[in-house]
Amino acid sequence: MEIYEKLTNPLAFIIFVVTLSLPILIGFLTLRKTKNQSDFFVGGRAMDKLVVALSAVSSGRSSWLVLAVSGMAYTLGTGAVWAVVGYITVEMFQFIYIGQKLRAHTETFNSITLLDYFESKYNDRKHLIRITGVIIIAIFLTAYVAAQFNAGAKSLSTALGFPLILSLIISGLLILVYMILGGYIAVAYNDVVRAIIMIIGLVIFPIYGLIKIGGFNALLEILAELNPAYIDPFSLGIGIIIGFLGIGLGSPGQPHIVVRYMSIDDPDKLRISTVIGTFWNVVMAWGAVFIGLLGRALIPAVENLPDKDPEMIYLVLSSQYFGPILYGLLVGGIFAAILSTADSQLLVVASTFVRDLYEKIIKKDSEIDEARKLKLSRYVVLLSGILALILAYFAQDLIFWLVLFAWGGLGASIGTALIFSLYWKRTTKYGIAAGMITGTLVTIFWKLFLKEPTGLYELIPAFFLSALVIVMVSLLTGEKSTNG
Amino acid sequence: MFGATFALIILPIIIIGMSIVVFIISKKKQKDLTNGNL
Repeated sequence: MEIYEKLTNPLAFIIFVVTLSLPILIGFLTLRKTKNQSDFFVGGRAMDKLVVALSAVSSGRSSWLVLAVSGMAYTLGTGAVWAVVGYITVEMFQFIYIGQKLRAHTETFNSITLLDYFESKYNDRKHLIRITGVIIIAIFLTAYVAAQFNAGAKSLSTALGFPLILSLIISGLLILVYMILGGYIAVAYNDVVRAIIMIIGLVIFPIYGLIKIGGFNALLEILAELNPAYIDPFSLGIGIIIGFLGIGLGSPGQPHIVVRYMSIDDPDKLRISTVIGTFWNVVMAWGAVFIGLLGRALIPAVENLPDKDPEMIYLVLSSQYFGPILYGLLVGGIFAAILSTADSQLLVVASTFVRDLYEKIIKKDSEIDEARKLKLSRYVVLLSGILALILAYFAQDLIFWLVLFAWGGLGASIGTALIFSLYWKRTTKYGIAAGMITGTLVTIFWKLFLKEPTGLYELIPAFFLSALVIVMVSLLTGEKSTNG
Repeated sequence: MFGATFALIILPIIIIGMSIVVFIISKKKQKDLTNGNL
């Protein structure tokens, strides 16, 4: 079955190309709004509530939602909902209980990055937290971006028959041009456009599928006949359900999601963003679950999917059931999902290199004027992008190995540190740094050696051990830390 | 059947409802922040 065959239809191809290149136009439109480094990395703290809500939702999801969650629902049945409940619930609270406080603190300290915030909050003149954070963010997020580039380029290569290297260059150009032009503002507006494309796919698909199959009850009857476990969401067992819910613990530690809260014009508006963000998070996630379930009902045998891969169900259904316009949009939507995460992560990587490493550590005694900072930021986005592209081509095994730990590693290091810094007044810089290191190391160790024997998702023990270390080290170093 | 209906229909409605509740009860927190209580 050739899932991309329909792209040979000129109309489908044109829609596909327009979907992919529209962001560049947005880059040009936002160029004049980007006047300084704060505009470039946090939108000048002037972004609208709707943009922040949709951007946080869209940049957090990537192709994992469209392809992996629908594939999970195809394989597991209704139990796949537990994979989305955890992160949606955590992010619902995050908008307000992390977002509002962080937004207020970062404005007070004039922080552009999360590490700026930590350093100012703890008066960390020796850059202990910043250096620890730079290493963690640079390694995990660079690998993340490279993996997104690789996934995007591989899909593009399969779709259009281009060699991988050419597909990588196209993927890189597609995001680097508008990122260099408009920075965060371009990325955030593009996230909104991409969220809308993803929503179209994830809403139209289930509605069309349910009509075709004869309604909700008919779907459940077909699934029950295939395997009764498909309609029992608790059939996975408590261990797997807890592991799925634990995915949500990673959300507060993803700098590319959290930076969205720092960019809103008025922190009070994060309250309404939580409703907007949660609503669309739910629509998109349940849309993906329904696609998987409908896919199982319409194509019961996995052998009938390309490479017997359940994650192909979205593409197969798009190709089989939709005309060229919708097909072009839906396939473009997958690339949109991949790129909307890659650009947000790449911007954080660039801010880590230029702001946290270069300006605050290497050139800490020099004054750099605003125009030069902005110029430098643009160069660093370009260089970080090229670095990620090189890794995506030459170090595929390494990046995919690192990505295995990225969500959990960031969640158990940056996430716990952020929560404690906002909510526990006795936290010290030594506690924060020790917690970050513990979270990272436990994630890697647990994943490699203890996940299989225990069956427990690594983020859960890593998160709680990191919290424990933050408390213990902070209590032990309380006196020291107040002296800076 | 109830399990599937719960997971696919009731659960998403509960989550959206929760976000509205969080929106309403968060009002007081914001007042604390605007008073400079960081």
